[in-house]
Amino acid sequence: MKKNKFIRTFIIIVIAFIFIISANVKLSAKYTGGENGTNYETLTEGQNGLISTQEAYVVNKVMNKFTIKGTTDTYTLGTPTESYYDNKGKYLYIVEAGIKKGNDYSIKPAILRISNDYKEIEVLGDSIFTEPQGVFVVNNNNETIEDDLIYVADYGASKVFVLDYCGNLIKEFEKPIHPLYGESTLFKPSKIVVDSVGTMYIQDAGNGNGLVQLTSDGEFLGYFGANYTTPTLSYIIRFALSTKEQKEQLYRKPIAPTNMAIDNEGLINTITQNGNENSLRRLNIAGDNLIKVKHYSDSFKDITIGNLNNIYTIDANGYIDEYDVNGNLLFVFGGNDDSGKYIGLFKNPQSISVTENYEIFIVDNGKITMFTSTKFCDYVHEAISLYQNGLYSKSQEPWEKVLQLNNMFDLAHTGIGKAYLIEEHYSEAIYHFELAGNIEGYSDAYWELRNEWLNNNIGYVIIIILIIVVITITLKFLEKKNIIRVISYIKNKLLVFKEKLYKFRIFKELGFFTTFIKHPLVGFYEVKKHNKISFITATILYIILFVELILAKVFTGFIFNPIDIETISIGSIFTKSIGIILLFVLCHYLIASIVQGNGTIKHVYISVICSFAPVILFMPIVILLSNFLTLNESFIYSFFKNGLWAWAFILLFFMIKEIQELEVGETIVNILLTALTMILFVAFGFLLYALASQIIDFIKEIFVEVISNG
Amino acid sequence: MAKKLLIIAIFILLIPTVIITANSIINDDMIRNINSDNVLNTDFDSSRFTQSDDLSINTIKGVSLKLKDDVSEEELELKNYDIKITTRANSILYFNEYLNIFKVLNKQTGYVWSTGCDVIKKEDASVATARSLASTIIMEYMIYNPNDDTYGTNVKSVELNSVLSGDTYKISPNKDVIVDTEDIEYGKKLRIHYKKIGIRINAYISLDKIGNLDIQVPDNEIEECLNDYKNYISTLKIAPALGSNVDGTVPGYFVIPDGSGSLIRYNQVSTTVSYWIPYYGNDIGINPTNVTTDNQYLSLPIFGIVNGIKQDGCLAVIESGDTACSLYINLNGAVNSKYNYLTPYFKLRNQYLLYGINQTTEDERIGTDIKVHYEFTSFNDSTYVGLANKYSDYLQENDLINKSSNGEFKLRIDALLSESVKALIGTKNVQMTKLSNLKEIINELECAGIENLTLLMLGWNSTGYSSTPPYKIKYNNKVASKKEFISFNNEQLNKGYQVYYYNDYVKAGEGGEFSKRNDVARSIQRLRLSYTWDANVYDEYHYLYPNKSETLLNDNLKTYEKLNISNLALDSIGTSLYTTYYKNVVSHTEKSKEIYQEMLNNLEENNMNIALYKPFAYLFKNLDTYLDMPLYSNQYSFYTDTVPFLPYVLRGVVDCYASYRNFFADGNEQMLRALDYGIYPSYMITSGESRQLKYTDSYYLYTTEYNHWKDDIINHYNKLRLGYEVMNNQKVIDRIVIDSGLIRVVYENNKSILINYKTNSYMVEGDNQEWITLN
Repeated sequence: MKKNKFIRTFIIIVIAFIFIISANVKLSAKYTGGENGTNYETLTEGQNGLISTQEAYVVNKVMNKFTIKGTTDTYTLGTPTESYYDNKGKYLYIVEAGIKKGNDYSIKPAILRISNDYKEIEVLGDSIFTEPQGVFVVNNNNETIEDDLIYVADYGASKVFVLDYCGNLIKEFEKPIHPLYGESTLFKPSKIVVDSVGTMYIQDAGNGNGLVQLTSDGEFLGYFGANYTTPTLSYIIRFALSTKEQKEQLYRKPIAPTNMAIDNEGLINTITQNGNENSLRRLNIAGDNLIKVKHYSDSFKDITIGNLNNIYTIDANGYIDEYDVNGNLLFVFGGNDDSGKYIGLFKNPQSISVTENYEIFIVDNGKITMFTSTKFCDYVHEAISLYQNGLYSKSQEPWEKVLQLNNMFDLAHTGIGKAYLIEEHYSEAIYHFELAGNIEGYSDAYWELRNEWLNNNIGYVIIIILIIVVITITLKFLEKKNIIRVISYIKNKLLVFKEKLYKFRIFKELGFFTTFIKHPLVGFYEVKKHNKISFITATILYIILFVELILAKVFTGFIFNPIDIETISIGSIFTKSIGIILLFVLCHYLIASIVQGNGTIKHVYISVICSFAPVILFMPIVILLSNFLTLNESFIYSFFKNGLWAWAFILLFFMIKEIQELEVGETIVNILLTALTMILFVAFGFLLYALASQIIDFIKEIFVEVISNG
Repeated sequence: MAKKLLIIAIFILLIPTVIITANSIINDDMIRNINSDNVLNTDFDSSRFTQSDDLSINTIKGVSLKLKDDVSEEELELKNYDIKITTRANSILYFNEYLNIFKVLNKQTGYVWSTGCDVIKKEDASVATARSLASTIIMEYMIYNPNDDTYGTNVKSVELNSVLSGDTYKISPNKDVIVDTEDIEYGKKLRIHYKKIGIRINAYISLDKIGNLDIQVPDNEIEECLNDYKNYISTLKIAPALGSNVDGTVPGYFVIPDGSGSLIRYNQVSTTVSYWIPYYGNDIGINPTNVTTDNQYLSLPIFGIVNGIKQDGCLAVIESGDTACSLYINLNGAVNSKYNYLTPYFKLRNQYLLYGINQTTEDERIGTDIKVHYEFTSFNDSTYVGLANKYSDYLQENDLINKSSNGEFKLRIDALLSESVKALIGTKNVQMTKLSNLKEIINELECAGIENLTLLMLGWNSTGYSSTPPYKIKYNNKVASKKEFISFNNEQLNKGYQVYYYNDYVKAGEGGEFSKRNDVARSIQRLRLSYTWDANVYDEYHYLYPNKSETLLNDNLKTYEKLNISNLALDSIGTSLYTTYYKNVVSHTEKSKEIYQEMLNNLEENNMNIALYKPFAYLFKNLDTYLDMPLYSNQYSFYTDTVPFLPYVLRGVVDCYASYRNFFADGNEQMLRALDYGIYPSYMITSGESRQLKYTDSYYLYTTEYNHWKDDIINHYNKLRLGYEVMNNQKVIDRIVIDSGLIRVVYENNKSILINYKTNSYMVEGDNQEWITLN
């Protein structure tokens, strides 16, 4: 009999695992590119992550062979590593790192200048460099192309070389001698940009102090644009508990910017492979970051700046990003392909450059891929150009074209919203700002609209208020004189109704609930001593709180709650509110029953929700209010909202004191212990979950192994 | 006689000259270059477009014939010479008994196509390439490992002939392979015995009545594990040398049926490795985790070779074994050789990872016969246009396609009626287009002069468009009542419009009407073909067993009839082909193909019209409407051109529609491409705002609102209609690239359309800048 039971249990377990296996073996699929003849999908930034859009750039050609200028010889690219597009001369400069065979070069390191038909090439300075990594070309104003200076950062030679247009060496800069630079610090220049007065910004490989700033004569000016590290909580705790030696090891050096570019206003834009929102920065002269990006990569490789100060980056996975000057992501496209089979995807991308016509060059694994912009992309650029110059109304037309092609392009809605705002079409502006999720724009437009309404209706409002006041006063006066008894009649009727209602216990208890606003201590006392609120009523109150929190998500004004209803998750609202409160109830009860305290779990359960009386009673007013306020008055909203919660927490404190019959000090200890217990509960829950899934994985593997081998 | 030949020769020489002169006439008279600076800023010379042809004369007429009279005594003794086997209408078949090479002489052009090269220079090919090119059939086998009774993943290749180094490779038969020959009607049978491997196969090589070459390897004549060997056959390559050429010696190209079609022009590409592309895409039933970047398929089981444009060409059709075939592409630079060659590559046995872990070899072969049919073309037919027409004729003659198009210009409107979205609790239905709105839209379009519509209804069911097929066959009553739907169908039918209803019986969404337990297919690895994707509502989808798909569809037939639905647009079936496993039985792709064919046959017998999305060629027979015709190929790095091969195959036979114009970044280019390719435009519309789709599973449909597209639809239609009237359902006989981005399509009635993609560079005479008709 026992054996039978054992077999049955075993079979059930096996069946359960078969079910688990068949339910869990899932494969992920990738959304592939569209019908437009590209091997990649183009995405843009939406409110909740990236969304698909029309192709912005398509591959024009892939180049790796050129004719050497003035000859019929063919030049095949060796190891191109960096590129720079010279807008004035319309040349593409490439850093050729060379190919070494034994001790000799089969292709020498050099700077390559590619003609604007992308067919001819000039090889410059092929006997100068050791390991060139960066190139930058300076056009001097009002002078001919022949006066251009080519700056080359040579990592191997630890020097910056300056060549003339023909590739002759003019100057070279070595490691700066300066007390601040430090004697032991190596000088390994790998990237370089030069501003209009000739100041050089050099990316010094591994020098975490920032970009090395040199004057046009090579004198050290200081470091620029360093990254800062912000310590995390765990880091601070570890640091505090470490010995001196450990502290030295823990001391973290900031990561140096990976690459940089200079924009048309002379500002330096940097990228850093640190995978946070400071990965991409636009720095002012003081070195402060001017932009905040939502989308970034943790493997940025190169950055370049377009006509409109729009920022282009490429990362190690071959994704090309285009941002506007404010760091809004316009497009992301491209991707990784190790086989080399697909055009427009990259194996080991090194560098990106862009022309004034938005042609993009990507240097990758011995080849240069050229992209050209599509019509859709041109509309976006046209609109941005007008928009950035403050010509909001003019930008409306190109934005409309963008919207026709992609109705979910948020930046276009913002642009059109701005245009309407300028043209004083506020309701249209509000519509577009709301679609774009643009709170500031929405608030501005709403302020205007409200103002307009008030201006038009303030007279009526005052008159209505006056009438109401007059009527009330008159009625009261008449009442006093016993001429009309309207008010007392209504009062009486209400009282009768109330009494009828109070015959039901729940209503009576709900009526008692208001006590917690006026006399909270009395309320708690009554709960404890006379069970003035029952378990069922408390549960109803929990439900009411939950419903109100959902309503708050749905009905709070757009400015304070810029989300779409479809994204609201009831589950997460529950866990974040009622879930935590219930966990508190449980933990608090446990702590109180162990340490000190005289409350039962029922009392705790009931009185905890009673502490939230201010939230439950006044939340609807706050929700209503939020619909009539703008960002200017946001302090009113946050004052009321936070005030309600603060009030609730103060009540909670007194509740504990009252129900558990504790002193103030004891109450504080109790609360801290409760909080700790809650954290432990959550941690334990996670642990249990992780362990369970590990065990399931383990058993699944054994099962598969048995089946496939057996 | 000599005079006649002279005249013919002069005539041949004249053709390209005339064409070149004709082009220059067009150039001078009608087109002005208005902006030469801007030319750089375009992608017209990229592989997204067709490039101009090199019409120079090909002096190398294939391989040379080695007749008995011309050979040395040594060779005479070895029988290393070509003897004539048979003569047919257009060609003569020769056979070299020593090397087992077949040669076909095209009587019209004098070109000799050969299944193997008998002269290979050392500078042109590595030993491995030379061995391959010298052999009519190359077999790869899996080596048996007696230690653990398994087969490794590495396969070994064995050729019929071997080569010895020298300035010119010395080619001799492989001593480990015994080949007996036997005469058959108009050809030879080769009995090939790989004696050191223990495998025997038979190959039949013959000419048909016209003179086309057929090569067959029947499956039931393959013998394995002979003489105590336990090796398994893995793959076969057929006639790699046919049409092969040394890069830089021959003007011409390969035609690859990738997407709309693509060319690999000789002398322009160099690669470092060989590539193979499976026909009909990757088989997820063998390799389910292989996520591919490809978004187009080789949907036709063919490849083309043009050696000397407008001189000699060859169209190879894989008549049998196509479901197991890949196209093996070897280009200049690969395997240290200068040769360009294409060959069909048949995979006869699968290796896979059991449960995704254990390397396993199937004991059974996939069990399909192999048959490759080569058609040779002469003179003007030897272009991709000629080959497309040839294949179109082939399909019609062999009853593989039914002509259903009347050639009238049509516009396809896909209406997205409803979609599912997450609500606070559960899901709810969003109505994007009510039937009454759709009626108004149709009315409006008709008033604007649009006469011929094809309608496709998406999300007509109660759960909405995406993630819920196969649908519960019931009209969404929030869109309109059943009665209204039925009368709508009748109304449109009376006007001569087809109303297609969308469904999918192959790729099932999480919310679909199927049994997750019984219907979801398992791959040969024994794993379910279930995938997840980045969805808002239903993030799972499943591939069903083909026979379950068939049952589900057949069960619905009566309901369709009740609902007055007689046109179905079926998704996924056209582009899905996978191996499945059910209760210890592996069912190969050939079987899946047959079931799908049967499914469609059955639909047709029930008087249903069928529209399919990018269907593979084996489903053409029951096809009434081709949806989402590709306009591009997969854009592989070794392609040089995109050409309208597939559209020209189907032109005038089946109505072909492009994919939605809404989602193209450059609508103008797409319009011209549609005109160029002869396919009809399509739009997706909703009467509601596209933003309502934001949180549905159709979130990627970012511009569908009718109000945004109304003007574009009307202008587009009126503009294109004039062009299609000129075409008048005529066959295309030539497509000339005058300059990159400037294309002249010549029709059978000698009218032609000049299409100007480059409106910012060229001005064309007349009002319409984009295209003009020429007589």
